[in-house]
Amino acid sequence: MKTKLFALSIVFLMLATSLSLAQDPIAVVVKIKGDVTVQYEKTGNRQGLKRGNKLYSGAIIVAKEKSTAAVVFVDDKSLVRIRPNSILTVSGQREKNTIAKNISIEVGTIFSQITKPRTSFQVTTPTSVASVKGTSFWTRQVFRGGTYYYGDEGGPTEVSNKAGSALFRADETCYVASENAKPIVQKTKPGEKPGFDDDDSIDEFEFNFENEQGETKTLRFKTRIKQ
Amino acid sequence: MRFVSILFFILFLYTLVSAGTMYHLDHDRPQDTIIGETLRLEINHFEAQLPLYEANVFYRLEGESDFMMKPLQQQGFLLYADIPTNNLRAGQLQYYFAFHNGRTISYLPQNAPQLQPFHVRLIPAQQAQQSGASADVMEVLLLSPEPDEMVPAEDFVIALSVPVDLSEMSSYRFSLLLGGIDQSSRLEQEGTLISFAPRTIRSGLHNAEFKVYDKSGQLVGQKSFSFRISGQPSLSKGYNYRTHIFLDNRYQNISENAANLFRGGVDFFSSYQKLDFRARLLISSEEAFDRQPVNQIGAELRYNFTPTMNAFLKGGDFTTNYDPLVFWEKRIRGLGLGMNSKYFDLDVTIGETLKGVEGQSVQVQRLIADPSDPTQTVSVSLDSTTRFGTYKRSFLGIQPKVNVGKYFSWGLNLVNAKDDIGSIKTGGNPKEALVVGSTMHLNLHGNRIQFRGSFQASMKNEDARGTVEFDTLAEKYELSGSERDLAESLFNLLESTGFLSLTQGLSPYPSLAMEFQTELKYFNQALRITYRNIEAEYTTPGNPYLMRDIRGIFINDNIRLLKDQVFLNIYFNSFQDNVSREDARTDNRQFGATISYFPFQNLPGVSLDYSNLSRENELAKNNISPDSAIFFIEDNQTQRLGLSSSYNFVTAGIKNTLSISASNFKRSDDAYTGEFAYRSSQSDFNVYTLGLRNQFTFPLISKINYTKTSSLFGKSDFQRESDINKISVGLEYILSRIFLEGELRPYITYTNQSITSKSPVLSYNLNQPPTVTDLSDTQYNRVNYTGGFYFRTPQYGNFAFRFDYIDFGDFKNWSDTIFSTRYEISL
Repeated sequence: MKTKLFALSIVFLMLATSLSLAQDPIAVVVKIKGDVTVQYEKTGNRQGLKRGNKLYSGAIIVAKEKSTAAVVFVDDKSLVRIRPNSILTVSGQREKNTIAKNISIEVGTIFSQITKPRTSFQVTTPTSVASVKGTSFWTRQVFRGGTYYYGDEGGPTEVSNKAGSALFRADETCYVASENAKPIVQKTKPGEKPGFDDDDSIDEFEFNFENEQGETKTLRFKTRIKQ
Repeated sequence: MRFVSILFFILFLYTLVSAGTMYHLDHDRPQDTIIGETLRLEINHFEAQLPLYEANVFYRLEGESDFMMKPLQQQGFLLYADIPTNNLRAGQLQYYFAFHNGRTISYLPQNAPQLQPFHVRLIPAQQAQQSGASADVMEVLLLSPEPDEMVPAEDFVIALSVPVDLSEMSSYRFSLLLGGIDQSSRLEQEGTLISFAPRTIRSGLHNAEFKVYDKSGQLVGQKSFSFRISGQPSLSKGYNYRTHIFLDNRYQNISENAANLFRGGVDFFSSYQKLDFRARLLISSEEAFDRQPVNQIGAELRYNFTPTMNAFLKGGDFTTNYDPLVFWEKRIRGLGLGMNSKYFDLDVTIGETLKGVEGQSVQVQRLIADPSDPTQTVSVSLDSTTRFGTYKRSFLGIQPKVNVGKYFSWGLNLVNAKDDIGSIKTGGNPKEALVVGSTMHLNLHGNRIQFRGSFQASMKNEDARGTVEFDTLAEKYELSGSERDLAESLFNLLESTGFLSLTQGLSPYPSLAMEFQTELKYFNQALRITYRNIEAEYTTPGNPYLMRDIRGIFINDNIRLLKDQVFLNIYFNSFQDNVSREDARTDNRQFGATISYFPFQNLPGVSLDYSNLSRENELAKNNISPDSAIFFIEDNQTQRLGLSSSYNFVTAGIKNTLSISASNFKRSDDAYTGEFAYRSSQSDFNVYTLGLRNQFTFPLISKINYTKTSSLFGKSDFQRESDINKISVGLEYILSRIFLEGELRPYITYTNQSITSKSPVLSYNLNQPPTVTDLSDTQYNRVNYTGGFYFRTPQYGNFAFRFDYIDFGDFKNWSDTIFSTRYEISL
């Protein structure tokens, strides 16, 4: 009987240990508009995302038409804004108190903002990989086409693929036609860089006021997010 | 007998086991607690046949004027309250328990609990909790909401993370204050992410404060932020709800008496646009027709016109607070309605505080003189009351209040309670009470100047049966002149309102209660001055726990020095108790100080405290002989000196917290000397504690505590000795993300108390002091084994199991066992 108990305890502890090594959330959804879903396997269940949802490594996110989302990583508050008609996979590998992040875009547009680079932050597309440190930039992946990187603020970002590598900075555009084509950097033309539509770039604020008669008045105003 | 009771009380005060024999209550004085840890105060209720209602613990730091009240939670026969110590300072914490048993109030300790409460020492953490400088060791990332963000209510979620290694997460404890309300128990933790997503939240501005504590209770990180909840919930997502369900079971076999108890309950909260609804249901196996209600069912509907204006309707069981002198945390079964706004509040409460419980009477045979032949006796059958019943007591409370922003409020209140004479057949005297008064709050200069005043008058009727004319009452109370005119006008007023019955039991004179408190926060200090005067006959049905027959002034000052490295608390209290009892009126002078030093380095925090309480009554002052069964001489001085410290250090990766404390309690009694020395309550106590907590590199926590208590009571040959050695060893392991994504925390604790005592055996002779005939030696061990686990899952609720086995060795020929299980889930 004692042997059985001991064996059961060992199995129990092993199970607990293996489960304790399971995933923990790497990011959290902080904004959602429209129809944005997440799934963890290509054939897995697709669930609608809501504000506050936790994301685990390997989360495949699909933002449909007129749908946007914002995702913040838990280790350094890096931000990824997902634009409509985008499909991407959010991955992270925990390294002690940091997470090595990788955003893999199949198609669509994202805005990445890394203010406190604790470890590597990569954006992977079918054509190239962008390694980021302390900057913000746009990535637009054309369906079955090339990749555009638009520098927004901060330091240089390195883009590389089989053909070579290049650095782009704020107000510069890096275009990669294919995985075998060398990245090309040039000045960003006016109107070329993606932006936030009115739908999600404008936040509404409202305040309730009471007058002496106890009547409530609501003052609404809008503010545009700095781009 | 009373001085004997006090002797026993003092004996129990510094023993680790104390029991309320009348109510079969057992209270273990908790271990010294490091600031930042949760202090659990608990009692075991061993007698299921004797119900307790509205169990509360009252606590305060030594030297404070006011006790704070916290209702006890119930798990089976275990009643407990978790006291957060983050906002308390190091030193002695005083506390006592109070209950309602259906007819009267009882306390633990039983005698004068407010004046001679239990004590537990709060040990300073290594670094200052209050210091912002030491609270930024750990970075806290606010992920959602963004600072000052406007968020729709249905999308609201707070998400924070602490960028540490996953394996270290179990070393930290998190707290969240939202709008001043502690939401820590509702935080969800997964990995390094901590989130809070309430089902509902009111619209408007919210302030939140998130804090991170390490295992030793030190504040290591914090984040304060504000956000706004949109006042326009979407129609499609406007409905929110939250449900909390729990089930309790406790089986115990104590003193060879087995008992089993079940409890279950549901809390439901929902909101739809501007409408909030809350319902509560509690079902207990203790419910019985001949007891006061234990089961509770209640609901509240609230309509929010604006974020600062609402109207509400309550029904069933609920509590409402007006003022501690009038109506405070008293459970009502009935209806409540009212409104709150920036300028005017109104509360009307109608219901009952007691249900009618019939008494018992039996037929007895008595011999009486035969009316036809007085020289002979005859047997007759008579009703004899064996137990008085409880009258149903109706309750009415009204409080209108005028507000001027947050700066000023002024309210009137009326509270009335009446026993329903027709509710039972066998009962004592039906009682009635009426309280009328006013309260005022003043808040100026950004909370730096605060004033609170409350003035109340009560009238009562101790026997509401029959009727009486005013002239009869005036004659009974020997009223004349202006007193008579005043009383007559009150009498006529009562007659017209019907608040009190005009019977022989009516006391036509009002009794007063008043409290005025001023708090000034300037120059790194918080000075509080309180004057309190509550007459003995003052009676409020809305707060039966109010301490009466007391008047005096209480001064308390908290001072911060040397850039918040030194905290000094000094106090002086001068008051009288037993004011109405003439010869027993007792003067109290209390002063003391606590000084705590928290160096901003890796050095121990240290706290030193001293208090001095002297009591002298009129009997002692006038040298009146103590030959009285009711009154006793009070002429004593109690001094307490304490030193405590804690220190954190790391050895081989193991995080250790060492705590140490020493206390001396000395009471000298000048009242009883010579042949009356056996009555002396002179005493001397020493308590030493040593605690060590280890947190290993894997998720194992071990604790070891040692306490030595030595005490002497009485004088010369009548002296008693007691020594208690207590050692406690505990282990706790944490298994994260186990089955169902849950966290399992198994634990085990071993406690051994070795108790030795020597006391004289007294022989009593009529009209002579007792003589010592022998010495009694008692020695026994009490061993307590505790084991159990907590299993918390994010989706399927929490399950807890605990097993206690208590072995008394040769002292008793039985052992006690207790099994407790609890399941709870939030949906």
